[in-house]
Amino acid sequence: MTQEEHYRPAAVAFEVRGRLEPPMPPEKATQLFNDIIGDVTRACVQAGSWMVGHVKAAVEGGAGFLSISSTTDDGKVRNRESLSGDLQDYNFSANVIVYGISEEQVTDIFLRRLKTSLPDALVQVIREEGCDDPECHDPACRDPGHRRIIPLS
Amino acid sequence: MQLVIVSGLLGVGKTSVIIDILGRLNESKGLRIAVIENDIGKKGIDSAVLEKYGLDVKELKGGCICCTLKDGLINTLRLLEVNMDPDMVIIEPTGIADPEYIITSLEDVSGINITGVKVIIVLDAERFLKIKKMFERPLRNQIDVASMVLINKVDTVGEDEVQEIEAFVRSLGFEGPVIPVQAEEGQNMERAAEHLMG
Repeated sequence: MTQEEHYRPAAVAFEVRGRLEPPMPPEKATQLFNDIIGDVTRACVQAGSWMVGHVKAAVEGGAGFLSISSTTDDGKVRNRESLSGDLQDYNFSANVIVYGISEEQVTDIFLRRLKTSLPDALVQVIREEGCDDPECHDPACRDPGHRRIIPLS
Repeated sequence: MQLVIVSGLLGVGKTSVIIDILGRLNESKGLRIAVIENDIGKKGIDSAVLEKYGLDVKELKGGCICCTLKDGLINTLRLLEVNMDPDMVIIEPTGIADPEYIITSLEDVSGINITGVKVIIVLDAERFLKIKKMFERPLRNQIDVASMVLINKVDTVGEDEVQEIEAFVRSLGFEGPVIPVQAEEGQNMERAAEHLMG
């Protein structure tokens, strides 16, 4: 890794949607998503990230809204707002920005962790590079609409 | 319109600062305030949070407003002026943006009535030593253009560490207000709002 790469953050966004069967009580759903964000943060550090920029997420669906944030190596999470009813159909948006590992590593860590808890989810990965639209010729494309949807199952 | 740039490195608590300050200014001054968010991803997470607090948020995605999205920022300001005529626009760049570039990009813009630009720099007390060690130059660049410095998350450190952080900021020649806060809890944020309006 060059000096420039060392100081360039790996920034990857994930758009996840799915359905929980049966619907999950809000406390349990909060724990589930908190655990995912905390585990992803710790896994990035274990993979060699020397600085967690920000691992943050928002969960929407059913009643309420939950935001989750982790900025320290121990994967401690902070919540803002809360889920107030059972969660079934959900949208889970996450941004992972860390230093010292690649966007591919971040993507791999996130998708692997997601698969253990939400194996039926559909995911879009939005990276600096990696446009999936064959007709797009923008080398810096970050258009979410140009990202394929990955079924985890 | 008055512009307020709330800047700081990644994860320092910029969105928490904005939520608190906006609440105070809405309550006490009745100002028309818009927020411009620069985030990555399909739906900006910070924008989603701010919208839950009933704030009018414009998103700029797919780049950084201090470089690749400069034109997008200027166009958004023009649209806001025409459609909303806000008293204040708060800009939250990503944590990797350099606020000086944002200020420079707005200097020679015509057709927008900008009455002033203030820059709030948010520091993270919890991770300050690590951030200072790894990002000293960007940190210095940010403080160079600051109107006010907030030392956030003071609940995670002791009084001595807060004083050390303030001493570092002062050692860079910064003479403006340096305010220790816990933005999520609103601790000491009334001082920040007062300075912003002063």
